Amino acid sequence: MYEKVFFNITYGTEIEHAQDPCAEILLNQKIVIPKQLIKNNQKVKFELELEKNTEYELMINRTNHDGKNKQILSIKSFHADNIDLNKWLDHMYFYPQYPAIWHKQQIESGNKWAEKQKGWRDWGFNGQWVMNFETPFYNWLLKSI
Amino acid sequence: MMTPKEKYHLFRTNKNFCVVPWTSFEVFTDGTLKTCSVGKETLGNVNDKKLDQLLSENSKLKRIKTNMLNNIADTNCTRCHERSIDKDGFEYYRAHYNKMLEDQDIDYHDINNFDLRSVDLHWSNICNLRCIMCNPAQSSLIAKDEKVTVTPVNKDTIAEMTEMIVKNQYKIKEIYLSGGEPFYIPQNVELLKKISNKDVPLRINTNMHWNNNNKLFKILKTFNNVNLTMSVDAVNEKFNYIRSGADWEVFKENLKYIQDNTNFTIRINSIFSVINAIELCSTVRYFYHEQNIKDITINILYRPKELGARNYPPQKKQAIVDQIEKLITQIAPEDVNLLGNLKNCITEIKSDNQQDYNDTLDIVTKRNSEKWQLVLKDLAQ
Repeated sequence: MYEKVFFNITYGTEIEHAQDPCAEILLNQKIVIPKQLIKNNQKVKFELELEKNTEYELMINRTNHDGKNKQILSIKSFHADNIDLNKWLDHMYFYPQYPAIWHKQQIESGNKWAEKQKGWRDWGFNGQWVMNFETPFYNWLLKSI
Repeated sequence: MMTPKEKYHLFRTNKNFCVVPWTSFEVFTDGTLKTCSVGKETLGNVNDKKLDQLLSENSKLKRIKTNMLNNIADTNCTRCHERSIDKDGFEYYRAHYNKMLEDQDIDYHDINNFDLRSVDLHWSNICNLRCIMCNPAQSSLIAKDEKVTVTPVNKDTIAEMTEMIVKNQYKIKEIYLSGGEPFYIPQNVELLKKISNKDVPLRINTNMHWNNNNKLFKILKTFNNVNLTMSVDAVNEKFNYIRSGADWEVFKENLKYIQDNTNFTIRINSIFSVINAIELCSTVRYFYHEQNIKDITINILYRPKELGARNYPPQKKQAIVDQIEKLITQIAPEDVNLLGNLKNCITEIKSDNQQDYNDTLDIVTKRNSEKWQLVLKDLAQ
């Protein structure tokens, strides 16, 4: 282990006639925070132990949307070691899993939905939000932000 | 060495940190050593003490570094702090230097460390013009007119500095040549002849009054990373008056020649004062919109204080503010430097009047023979 970085995420939710959304956090496909139901304003804190000169993918796997009712999961705030990275969220990508039937209808009516959506922090669809970074983390941060 | 985390916090969290005291210096035409062009304190004189001693055993420099590491605003850096606009993310001079070295490994913890990465050389006052806000220390013609002797940087010191620069040429991120007029200062040619790293970034502050047989111009063409920072405060007749001895048509011809025949990048550098306050916006528009030159810096005139824009006739200030505010709406948001500079111009002209410019402009009239009231009509009351 080369460095530790402490993350703090605050989620937001908006729900109508639906269950709570679920989120699972993974680092390079390994589970950091297991899948759990998320309530509005819920905070999730976790520490990542990182190796030197390595590329990483931090992912939030958002699930439990039924494809019908309104259910939005948002990142309200995002901090690493108490450094506010909210502006950086504009540069991250969300890979939506569009509901199959709805997506087919959209395509047929001429609406093309991108495979990945830059800067999305409010997720009405299931899908994966991804942050790619490398270590040393702070060198990456200095270069990126 | 610093950890990446420590380095991040210095560059991003610390509001007073600047790489300059560890990595750069400015030598003025009389040998005065300072941190940079806007640094307030004299660190010594290279004609009196060896440069490496001045840089490594300097109590003022150590104090400046210590304050920076402790996130304390040092008095040396007041001008830079005054001109930075936190809410817009606009940092004055230090942004230029900090950005240049963000990816470099330099030990800033060690206040005795000096690791040369850039230089600001005004090592002679030789100049071909008599700009009206200039002085004997920066114009040999004015020094001659006023019978003032400026003790130049001595030959041994120039040799020492040249050796230091040549030794570090593959690490250096900027050699800034100013003056005087750098295109007429022979030491600049001698220095560049010794530099074998053709990729070293060179920034030359020039009035653009030289021809393509000029020795410095010829040698600059052999380098790959040259920025010409062109001094222009107004256009047309006003340019000719301010830059006394200059010709706007020559400036334009040389600008076109540079654009058509070299790969030099171009920066426009204006100095905001009472003299050009009324012309500032039309000058910026000419370069930004007509010439498509987006890299424009506007510095605030510090000396002579009497010509500072804050001394503009109070009843006419609001019209200038209105013009600049309108111009700001016509500048692209990504041109943060220009926008920050324009906002600083507003702050400067809104400041309380402190001095009277009449006597200083009368001296200019004696030097240039043309009555200032006939040209600077907005200042004649």
